[in-house]
Amino acid sequence: MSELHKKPASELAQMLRSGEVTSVQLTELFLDRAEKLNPLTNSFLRINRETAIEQAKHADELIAAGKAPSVLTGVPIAVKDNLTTTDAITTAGSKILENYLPQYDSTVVSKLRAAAMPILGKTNLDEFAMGSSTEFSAYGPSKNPWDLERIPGGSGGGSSSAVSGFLAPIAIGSDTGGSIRFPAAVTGSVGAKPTYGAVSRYGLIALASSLDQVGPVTNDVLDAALLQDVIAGHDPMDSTSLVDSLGQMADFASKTDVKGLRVGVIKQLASDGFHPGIKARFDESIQLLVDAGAEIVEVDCPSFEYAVSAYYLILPAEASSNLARFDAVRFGQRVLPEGNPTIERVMAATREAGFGPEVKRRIILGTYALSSGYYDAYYGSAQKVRTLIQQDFEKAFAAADVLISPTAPTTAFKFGEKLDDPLAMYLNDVATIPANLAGIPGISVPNGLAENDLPSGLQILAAAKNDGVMYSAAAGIEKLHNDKWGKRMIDFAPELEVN
Amino acid sequence: MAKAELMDFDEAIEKYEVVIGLEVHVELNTNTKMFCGCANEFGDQPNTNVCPVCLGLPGALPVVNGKAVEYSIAIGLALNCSIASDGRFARKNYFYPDLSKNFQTSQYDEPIAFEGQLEVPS
Repeated sequence: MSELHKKPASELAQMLRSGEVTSVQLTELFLDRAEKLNPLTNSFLRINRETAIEQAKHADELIAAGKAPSVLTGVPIAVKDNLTTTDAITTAGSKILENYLPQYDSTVVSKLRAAAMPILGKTNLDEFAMGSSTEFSAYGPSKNPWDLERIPGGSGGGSSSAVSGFLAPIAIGSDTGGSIRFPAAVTGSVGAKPTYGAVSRYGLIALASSLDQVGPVTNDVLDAALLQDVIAGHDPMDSTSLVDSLGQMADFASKTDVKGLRVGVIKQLASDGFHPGIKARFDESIQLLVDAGAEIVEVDCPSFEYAVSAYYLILPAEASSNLARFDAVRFGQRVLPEGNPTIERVMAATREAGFGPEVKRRIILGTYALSSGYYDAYYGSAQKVRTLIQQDFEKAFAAADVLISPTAPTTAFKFGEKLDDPLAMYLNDVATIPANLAGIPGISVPNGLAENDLPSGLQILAAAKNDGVMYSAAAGIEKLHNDKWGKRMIDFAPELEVN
Repeated sequence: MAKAELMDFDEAIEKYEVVIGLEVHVELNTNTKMFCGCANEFGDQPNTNVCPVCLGLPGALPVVNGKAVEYSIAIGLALNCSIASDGRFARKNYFYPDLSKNFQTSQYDEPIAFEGQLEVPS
């Protein structure tokens, strides 16, 4: 049982059903690991031992009675701290929500509760999910289990480090421009962003409403598919929620044959800007696919050149509006200024003290881009680019079933390396952003070790609502890799040890 | 300071055509509020007909009241408007303490009903 914590959720679920292990045992195992290792990785902002154990007891009762509501019933999980929970403080990584206890559960959390999955705790993130490294969390950065001096990716570095360090078997993330996929790539784990609208955003503290999507963070593709099946589905509380089901992702993830699969290589994401090791691993994966009978086609997406620029107008514009509600009037921190505390001065003092530098940078950018007379030139133009990118994807998906690229240009970088250079930080997401702009699904799977013997990721994209196609292709590529390496890439990760 | 030179009223009427725009607010008798399921009731105890959506709590999302849209179309038809096949809500952003999200959700350049007319006998 010593390696129980390294088993995928799918196997843990089988062991729960067969009675080999109880949910309380599993939950205690991961709580013990989380409490012991969190001082190293800072994955969790809060660990909820008491409530998790209660939920595990409930899961065990349901399993014993033969009434498990879900395949994953009893499997403990970690949740990113930008999803509201009524039994745990929800900060979104910001000082402005320090000690904020939500009055309602996000829909995704309600679904986890309905599936009787114990929630181990809330994971760290860049403040309001703005960042690629967790260095912008108000509560300190999370650390990459492969090398504690390096970033675990962001914004969801808490979830990625928790899962890749086996502090939690699976976790929930959110992806606005790559916040699930980039952390997965640099930690050797798997992260999926479903089609926009596949998973409810109700209770997800909004960053950019037209780009945000909640998704799974796991150590293999089947677990991601199983978790998407738990959290997906129509929600009347989210007007952008898809009405029709996209099918059972776990069924798709069990189809691993890539023979005849048309795989598009995006010309604009296969050449410049990627480190040599990243590029080499990518080329090797293309060869693996060819050898397994997949058909490789090159696709041209000329508008991708403008994706990052358009994204950094659309995102700050939406964020500046979404974050206006943090004003000290109804909830959250309230900072009184010196002198006469008029409402304007209280709002200003609270936002000055409560928001960190990256949040302020983006609020200022967004407010400017939306200001009267500039709307058409900035937000309007960016929306046009967005349409062009969607058209690029439509053409590409006429020629290919899935598109692949490296997930990120580099392996995990060291803390501080890009902190003073926002543009360099923004370019981490060059390959992941187009999927958010078009609303299509994307997944990052491990793609072998590259620079500094650190993990790299392979991104697989599919057309909107074709999440199933994406999971089949991802499972196929994962199988080719595991056969080649003899084990999962996460099993190459060094053991976390407390000195 | 120089005194403002005001045109004589009769002279102004003579010189210009008068066009008056009216902004008319109508309170609809829907059962629930515009963007959430709370009762649209006045006079109840404070803080009773409220929920995460109308309080603008973090993570909450608006869902448009279908009945209100139906009423808007009815008013539009009564005023001989063209009715849009789809519409869009926009955010009017400004900070004000009684504005829970610090933006108004209203229609701007893509309204439900437009280009109507009402002849008023003079």
